Amino acid sequence: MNRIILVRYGEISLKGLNRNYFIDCLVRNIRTALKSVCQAKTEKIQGRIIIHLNEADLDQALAAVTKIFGIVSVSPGVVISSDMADIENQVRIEAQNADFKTFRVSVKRSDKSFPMTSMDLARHLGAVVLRNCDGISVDLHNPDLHLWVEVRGKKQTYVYHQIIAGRGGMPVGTAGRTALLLSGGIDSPVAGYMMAKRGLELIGVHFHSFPFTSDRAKEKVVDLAKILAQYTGKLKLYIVPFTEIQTKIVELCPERQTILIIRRYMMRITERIAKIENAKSLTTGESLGQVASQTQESLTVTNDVVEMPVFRPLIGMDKVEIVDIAQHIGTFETSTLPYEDCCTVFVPKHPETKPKLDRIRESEKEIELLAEDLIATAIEEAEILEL
Amino acid sequence: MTKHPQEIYLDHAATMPLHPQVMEAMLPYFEDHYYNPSALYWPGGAVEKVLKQCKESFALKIGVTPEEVFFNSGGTEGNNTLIRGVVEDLRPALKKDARLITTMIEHPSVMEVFRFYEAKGMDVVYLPVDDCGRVKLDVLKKEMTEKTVLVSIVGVSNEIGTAQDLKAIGAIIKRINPNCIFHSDFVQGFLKMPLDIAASHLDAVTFCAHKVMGPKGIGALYLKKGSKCAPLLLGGGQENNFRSGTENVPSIVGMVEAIKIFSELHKHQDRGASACRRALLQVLEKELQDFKVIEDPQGSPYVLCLSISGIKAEVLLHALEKENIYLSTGSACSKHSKEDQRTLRALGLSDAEREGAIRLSFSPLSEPDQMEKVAEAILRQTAYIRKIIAFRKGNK
Repeated sequence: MNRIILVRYGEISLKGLNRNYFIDCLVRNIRTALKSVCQAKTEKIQGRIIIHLNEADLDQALAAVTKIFGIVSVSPGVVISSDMADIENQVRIEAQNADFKTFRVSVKRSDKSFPMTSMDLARHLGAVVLRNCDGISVDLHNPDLHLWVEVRGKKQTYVYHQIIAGRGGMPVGTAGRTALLLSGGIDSPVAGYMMAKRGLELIGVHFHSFPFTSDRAKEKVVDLAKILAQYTGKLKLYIVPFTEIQTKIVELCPERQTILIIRRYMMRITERIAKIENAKSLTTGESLGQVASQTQESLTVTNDVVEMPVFRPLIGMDKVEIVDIAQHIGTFETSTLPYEDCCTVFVPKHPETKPKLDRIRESEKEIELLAEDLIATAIEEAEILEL
Repeated sequence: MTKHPQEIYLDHAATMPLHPQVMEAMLPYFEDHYYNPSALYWPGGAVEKVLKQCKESFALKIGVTPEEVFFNSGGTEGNNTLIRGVVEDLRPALKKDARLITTMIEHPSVMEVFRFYEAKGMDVVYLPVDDCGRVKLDVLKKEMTEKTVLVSIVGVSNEIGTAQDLKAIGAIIKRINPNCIFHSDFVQGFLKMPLDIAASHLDAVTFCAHKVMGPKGIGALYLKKGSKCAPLLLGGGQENNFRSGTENVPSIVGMVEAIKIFSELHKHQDRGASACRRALLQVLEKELQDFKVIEDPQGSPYVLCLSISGIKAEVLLHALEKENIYLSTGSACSKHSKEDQRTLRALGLSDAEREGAIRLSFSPLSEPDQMEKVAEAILRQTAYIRKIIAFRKGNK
């Protein structure tokens, strides 16, 4: 008997000829996730992935696996031979170790050479349970204990009684890469999570404005990136020194437009980094109307400077909904630490909410002369962390 | 974690480095004399004796009897023990009408305890202060009643260094209610400012070691004999049943050693802290525009609070940190809470003045020679930050 986790994938099995590509990617992601917590082996079988736990701790392995996108559900269980005596024995053990009044046994049998039909085997094993436990009865509709037996081949029968929901989505990496503008706030980690769920690998880009933001604020972003990396397997984070550009903007551009012009420079730099990293899109945590730089007009202005598509998965969400997800994925606590993450020094008292694109372009004229140097230096001096 | 060899540390009110001699005094109690002082075999007894000597030495220093000194983990514990202990010891009938008095400029370890009891429905009065941070005595006279069971007033403010006139305050309290417990959080004043417990009619005083070159996590509470105060920690009955928990012998030894060393150094503080203040202010007053010193002329020379207009204190702090100069913003402990700048607010400072408030705090070993470098850095970084903030305001 060997302890296993049985992994089911849903959506990716629909992907026709690319199916293997998706599954291989999922297997790789599972291996990466498990490597840091335990020594477990991963095996691909028809329609399922099997994790052989060996000596590994089940809870640790489960915690890691249930964070991986592309998994519909998992079941901790055991693998035994398809010998009838073995199957009977295992079912008896599972029943004796469980606390229940009612039960049922379900059988799946992909090995059609097995001498009994699924129905017959289920009935037979039900009888085994009834013989070995007192005061219990069968309930096919709402049992306390639902025992599953999957006969897959001569040597592989899987027995389990728990089905734990996964996060769904697509394996990270199958959709390529996106560059995520990662601040220390609540929204951007959630945006990253949502795009990663659609199969995108994340390249984090954070703008650091020391001394206007502190090193603790930077550490906070690193911590957030580490939390995201639990879902994405790995995450490369660029920490871009931004003070120089920001102060130049404040010096050379009209006060009401500073935030928008700062945002435009963030987008420009992020797109450059995206190109370096072979990412094909940008992701931001913007939500319509949340702040002045997130109105339709403002988004038009910030979109103007990039060619790549900009994904804004939170665009139609309320703060409450975003906070719910942040709590669910475990980034909320870190996001709400009190270190300043947004340099209030640079926030104008009355920012533009309906900026005109041509006027913003006009305002950028003076700084444009320096822009190329400033951007190149910022990217060159960026600190790159592999998390 | 690597330390910069040329750092200039100006945050001694937050904590002081351990004096090397203190470390030396402590080591044998980690390595050789590690025994539990309650143990019945002779080495335990020997350690207990050391503990007794430490207590006698401490008591002598503050002018009380050894039975009135209780070692604990420091300022927060001392303040919590006293305030909670006094309130919990009240008879229910008394508790209902009892009044508690404190000030608006207390350390959070006092403030939060009073707020806790206020939330439970008790009558708590927070005394206002004048623009130097001194408690308004006429308000105290008015608020002090016969039902007042506890008055807790910070002896020396951690943020601006204000020294309260504890003798005058004690006299007012005891005239109106001789049974009222008078407590002072004296963590920032210990060994740095005069303290006369008897003449001030103090019933309880909080002390700690790491603000005087001693180890962190050790302190003491003075509690006058006969004062009614329930213990916070129950257990093995150490410290005469008032503070259970195995005595932290190495740290107690360290604290007593630190007291000796610091007291000596303090005698020459005019060449240290005070000289640093003078040197710094000399340059700033000549070169820096639009700033003010927020101080109590009779206050602690170890603390210097400056409000520089047109900057944000935290930005200046980070800019100076880049130059390996470490100081604090005017609002201590704000890292953990949004509720900050309470003290500066109580002093009547405007939003802009509070926003630009920084605190420098010295030790007797601070070097006046370094202050020119500090002043220059403040001037340079202030100019830089002001320029950017001025742009923001459209003053270009």
